[in-house]
Amino acid sequence: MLDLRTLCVAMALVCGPGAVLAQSASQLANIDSQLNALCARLQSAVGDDASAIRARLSALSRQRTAYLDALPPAQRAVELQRSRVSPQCLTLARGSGPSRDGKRAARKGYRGGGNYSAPPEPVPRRSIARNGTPPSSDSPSGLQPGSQPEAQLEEFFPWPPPAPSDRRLLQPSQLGGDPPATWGHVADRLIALMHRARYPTWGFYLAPGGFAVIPRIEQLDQNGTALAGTERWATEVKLASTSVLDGIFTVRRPKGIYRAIAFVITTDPRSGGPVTDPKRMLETARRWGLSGALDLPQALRSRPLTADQRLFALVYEFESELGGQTKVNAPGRWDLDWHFMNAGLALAP
Amino acid sequence: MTVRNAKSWLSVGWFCAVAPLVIILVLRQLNDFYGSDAKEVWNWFSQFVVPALTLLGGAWTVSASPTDDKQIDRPMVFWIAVVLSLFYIALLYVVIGMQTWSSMPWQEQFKQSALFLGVIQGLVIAVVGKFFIESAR
Repeated sequence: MLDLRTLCVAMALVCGPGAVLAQSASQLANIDSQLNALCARLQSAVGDDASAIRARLSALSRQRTAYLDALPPAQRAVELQRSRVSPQCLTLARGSGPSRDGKRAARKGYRGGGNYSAPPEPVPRRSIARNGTPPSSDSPSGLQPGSQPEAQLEEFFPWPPPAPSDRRLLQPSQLGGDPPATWGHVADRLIALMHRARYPTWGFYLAPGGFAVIPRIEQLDQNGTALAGTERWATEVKLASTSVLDGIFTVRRPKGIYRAIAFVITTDPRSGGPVTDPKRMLETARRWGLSGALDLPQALRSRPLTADQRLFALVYEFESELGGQTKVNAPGRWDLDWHFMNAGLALAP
Repeated sequence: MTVRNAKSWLSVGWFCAVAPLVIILVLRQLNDFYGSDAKEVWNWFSQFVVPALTLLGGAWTVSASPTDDKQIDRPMVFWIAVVLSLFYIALLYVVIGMQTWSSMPWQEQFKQSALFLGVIQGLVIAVVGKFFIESAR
């Protein structure tokens, strides 16, 4: 007799895999559609919004990986064929935080495809995103400050940095000498350049697929010329007098003009939107040249320069009134060539 | 010193001392010293300068009398009014002079200055008022 239990088991055997497949397909499609939507939002997001989106992307990426790992190989292949998420988005999601497939993503490259089922041949470490270490989840820029040897460098800025007053793409050969082959060569030439320009100190920071080096912030006069002597490094506006009598007859607020120059070598040469909190940005810029590493860690120095890395310079001009407003000039009052010439940063043509 | 002369000196002194203050505040406003929040400046001015000027102007129109030509009865009251007025006006200038170099926001400075200016202004107006009323008798 065909009892009820046998009938149920038979039905389960016939219908079960189809139901599970339909359910799983729906789950993957749901994750993929969320990933696509977040990637689209990330393009216009800045600051905390971008950080939140990156964190969510990272969580979804982990969820997707865990889900796919749990499937049998044949079903996983079918699922991946149905996947609707763009490879760029998947790569971005993997680079936004720690993920189990971080190593595979890293081997595929910062902008590489997100083909889960086709791990490519390992290539030499080419950038932070390719170093095979899982990115940190608390790193909004997708950098890996928690990994070695990048852990020895602080982040330059949640990537991308805000819109500068001026910027310029540079050729590594403009730093002088033979074309640099490693990060260390670039760092040495930048240090020599800053030495010649009499910068007393600078800081090395982490950037996506490279690093940033920022000399100490300088104070300028109203004509954009760096102040002479130690006044050049003063972080507060120089006052001719502080007497009450002079203060009474002062009808313009004393204003300090400052310049921060950043050299960045990166695989992601973008700039973000305008600075939203100039006062805080100036406070950060005042620390750039004094904190950060004085040189690149040895492990990073030996990394080779690659074709997808770009060297560019950013200049931030700040105008800060004593007891008044602070603003970042974007675009700047002076162009990058003026700033370089005035600072004594002589690049080869 | 006659009552008329004393009143004249006090009134002219006040107006002459306050005129540069007005000019400085106007120039500062036009030079964006106070940013887009200049209303606060004129609130402060209305609160701590205008009442004394109103008292002086009002006294001239209301209390003009034949007694203006006699000698002042109590010179002490007159001199206390002068000294207190000078002290008060000097404080007004100190407040706006300190705004230039201080890292404290100017709005906060005006707010803080209101604490002591309010007290001293009360004394000044009381003494000046006493002088004008007594001299009209």
